Amino acid sequence: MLKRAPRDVLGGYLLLEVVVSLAVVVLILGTFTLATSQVIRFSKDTSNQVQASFLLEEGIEAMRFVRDSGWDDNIDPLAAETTYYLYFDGSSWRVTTTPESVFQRFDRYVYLDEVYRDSNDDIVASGGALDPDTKEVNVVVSWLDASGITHSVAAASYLTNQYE
Amino acid sequence: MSNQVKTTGFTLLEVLVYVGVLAIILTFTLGNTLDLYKRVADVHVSRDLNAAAIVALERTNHEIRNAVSINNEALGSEYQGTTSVALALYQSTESGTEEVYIYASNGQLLFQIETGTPLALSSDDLEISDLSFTKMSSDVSEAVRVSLTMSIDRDGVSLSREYADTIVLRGSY
Repeated sequence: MLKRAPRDVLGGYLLLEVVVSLAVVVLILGTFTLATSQVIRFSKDTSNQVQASFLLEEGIEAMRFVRDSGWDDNIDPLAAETTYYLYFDGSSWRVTTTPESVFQRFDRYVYLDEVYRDSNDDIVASGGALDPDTKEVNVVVSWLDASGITHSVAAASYLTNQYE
Repeated sequence: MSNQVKTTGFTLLEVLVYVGVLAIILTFTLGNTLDLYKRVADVHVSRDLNAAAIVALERTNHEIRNAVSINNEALGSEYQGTTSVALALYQSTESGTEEVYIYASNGQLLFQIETGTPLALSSDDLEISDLSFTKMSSDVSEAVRVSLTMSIDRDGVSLSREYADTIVLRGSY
């Protein structure tokens, strides 16, 4: 059986106690809400990431197709470590120096890096001899999320002059 | 007597302040919770859209990458120039060449082998629109640019996203 405490001993809560305990509750709720909205904000950006990952794949494939259309005409004239953009003219891919945005949301650019090989013809990061018939192609897709933070995805592959 | 009042309860002012604070907290919490519910619904729907887009495009890409060549004539009048709303691909199998189709019908993306039963690459609560395939040819290869819009309208959430990809036919070299 519960024994009721004498009222005059317990004396009720002070207003200060009530306010402090409420503040604690608010703090916990607030933190929970904030954490949840943060998770939601990140997962909302997933839609952009899915779109961007296909645009990234497209960048690599488009560069491959540009190579297929002629190494001497299309890849060789491109300067290393210089930013270029991919432009789809309705029937094929072109490499241009004019910035191109995709779906009014994504910026996509490509740049080529020179490739060096050692005496075993293995690609090396530094040293070795320049291989003029291989380029490392880098594609970067970037976008702004709902809160204005820039995100980006990048991929790299090698292109070789194997058809000319 | 005055001592008794002080220790056995709240003054009217205390109760008013308490109720006031409680009202503010409830408004804040309720507002946030409702907002949260809406956002969670949003996330669920957009998650489904993302998953559907990945399945539909990855499968399409896989079929294009596997193909040997594109059949320009197969879908006849549906082709407009080199851009089409349907794609017909030749793939090489152990028993010879097989023709496969990717096209949209009633808002669904379908995949079909020869005259077989169409297989849905997207669920029926999604709407595929603006589907287009553009054929590209170089001296040594062929490629296809796929672009489409996927829309979903569920639980009061309506979302629409555009997707595009280009794939070089690995069998075309």
